Amino acid sequence: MTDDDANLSIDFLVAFTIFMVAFIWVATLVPNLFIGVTTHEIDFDSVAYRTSVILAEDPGAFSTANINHTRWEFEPNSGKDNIQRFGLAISKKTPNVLSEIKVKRFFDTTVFLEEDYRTKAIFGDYPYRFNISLKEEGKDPLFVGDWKIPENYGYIRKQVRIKHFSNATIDQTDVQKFKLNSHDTSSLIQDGNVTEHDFVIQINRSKLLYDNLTTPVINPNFDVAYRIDPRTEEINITIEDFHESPPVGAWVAPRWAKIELGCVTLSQTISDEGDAPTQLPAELYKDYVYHNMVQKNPPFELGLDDTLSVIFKPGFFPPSYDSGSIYVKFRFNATTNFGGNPIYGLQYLNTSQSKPWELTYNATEVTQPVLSNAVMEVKIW
Amino acid sequence: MVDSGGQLFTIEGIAAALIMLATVFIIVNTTSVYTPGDTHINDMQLEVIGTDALKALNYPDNGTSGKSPLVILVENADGNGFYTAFNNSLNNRTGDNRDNIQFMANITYMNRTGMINSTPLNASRALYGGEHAVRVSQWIIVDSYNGAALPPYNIFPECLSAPSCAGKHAALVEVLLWRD
Repeated sequence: MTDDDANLSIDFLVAFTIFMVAFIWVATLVPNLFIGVTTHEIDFDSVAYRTSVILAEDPGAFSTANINHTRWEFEPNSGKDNIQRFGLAISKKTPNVLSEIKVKRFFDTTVFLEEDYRTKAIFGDYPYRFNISLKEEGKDPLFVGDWKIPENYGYIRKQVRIKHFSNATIDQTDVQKFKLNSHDTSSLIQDGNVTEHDFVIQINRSKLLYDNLTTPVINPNFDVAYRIDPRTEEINITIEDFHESPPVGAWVAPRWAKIELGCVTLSQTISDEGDAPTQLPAELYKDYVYHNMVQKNPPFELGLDDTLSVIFKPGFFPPSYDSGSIYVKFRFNATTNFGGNPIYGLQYLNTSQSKPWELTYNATEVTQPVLSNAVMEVKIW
Repeated sequence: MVDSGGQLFTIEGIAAALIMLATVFIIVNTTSVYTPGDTHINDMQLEVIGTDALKALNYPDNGTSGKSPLVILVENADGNGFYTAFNNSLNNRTGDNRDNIQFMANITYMNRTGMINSTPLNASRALYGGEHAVRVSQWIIVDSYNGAALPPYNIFPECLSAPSCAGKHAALVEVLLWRD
């Protein structure tokens, strides 16, 4: 006789199978059903990561075409809505190398509000709170965002480098090396007898932007981290050593001379075809002359211990030209001495008999852009 | 006569199912389970920090003939220099307190006989096993001969005398990173 103890019924098997299939189906549905409810809490880390990458590896973006510039960092405060995306990198090719001017602009909380950072750097529908900080070696940290940080937040840290501007000083050594003075007083040319001394500085855009940087060449993809870019960086050139007493062939005014900086003019060529430079309108390109590091427009009198600088802020020159040269011409007047008597044969800064002083990649004359170490932290909650 | 045996009482069944589902959902939702899938976040953070630290070391300083600090350190087998530079960058924070990430760095390269060699560069602490480490790496090109007058010329063992060392090596700097 058959016994039905310990037998499994077909009904039960079918029912159990259906139940399990249904259960698994429901179980896989549940996370998808509720993902919309909890999304902002589970993606703090990924939002922090995304923000840090946008900041450290992207040069940023600008929404509308502008005739004056195409970079967000040059947008005046009034037009900040035209900025589409913040990005601190100097270019897409050099991730983690930040631009000094972009960093300065980004951390300017007098201009940008929390909402600006949310819509231009963090993104996302949920109004995330944030704290973004950057500390450069040997400097105070910079912050934007909230100070009160809760226990649970998304975090990422990025090691970055900041590219600093170049600067140059023209002193006695340069003058003697490049013969930047009126020196030919014995010949018929008699350029020492002039009372107006024209001294020219050349900023050769073609050379600066496209020439080889070093020998052996650094990976060309990294070039932009070492270039002096007159379109986007500050150019700072200082003339000093006015007090040096003149040995033969030197350039400096003796004590009795009265020197006045008459005017400074800017001109440019936009190709390397040998065209004559055209003058840049003085009413648009102005306020770049510094007397003892204080902005002052010529004419003014130059003392022997003074320094004379030209500082062109980032974005000063038209960004659309990448060839040709910019010429800065100083006109020094040395017509009379302190006693009111005329001066002849004065040796002074004068490039009419020599090449202009040039901004180059020669580290002896020009302090090259330096990459400093920094760390950036992004916290999101 | 209608018997109620084996009938599904529809309303009660659905109600019971909903209650069961709701209960399961509440229970699952109130406990957060740290699954193996979540460790990728910490791993990713370590990876990003380590990759960036290596990348930052691999940008040549201006005016150094195209060699990055990392290349110079490897060429000179300067383990101490690597420790200082890498550790400084790795554990640097914007606040005052420093992070505490440990690392162990190796250089892997092919030697003249076509064998793959691996040489330790430096480590902040020995790896005992049990640590959950992530690996980051950076390819570099180094000169086999570093200009030294006397052996050891550099870290590459086959480089025993200056003339045999001419040329370039591709080398892989691999770093294991973990937190205590």
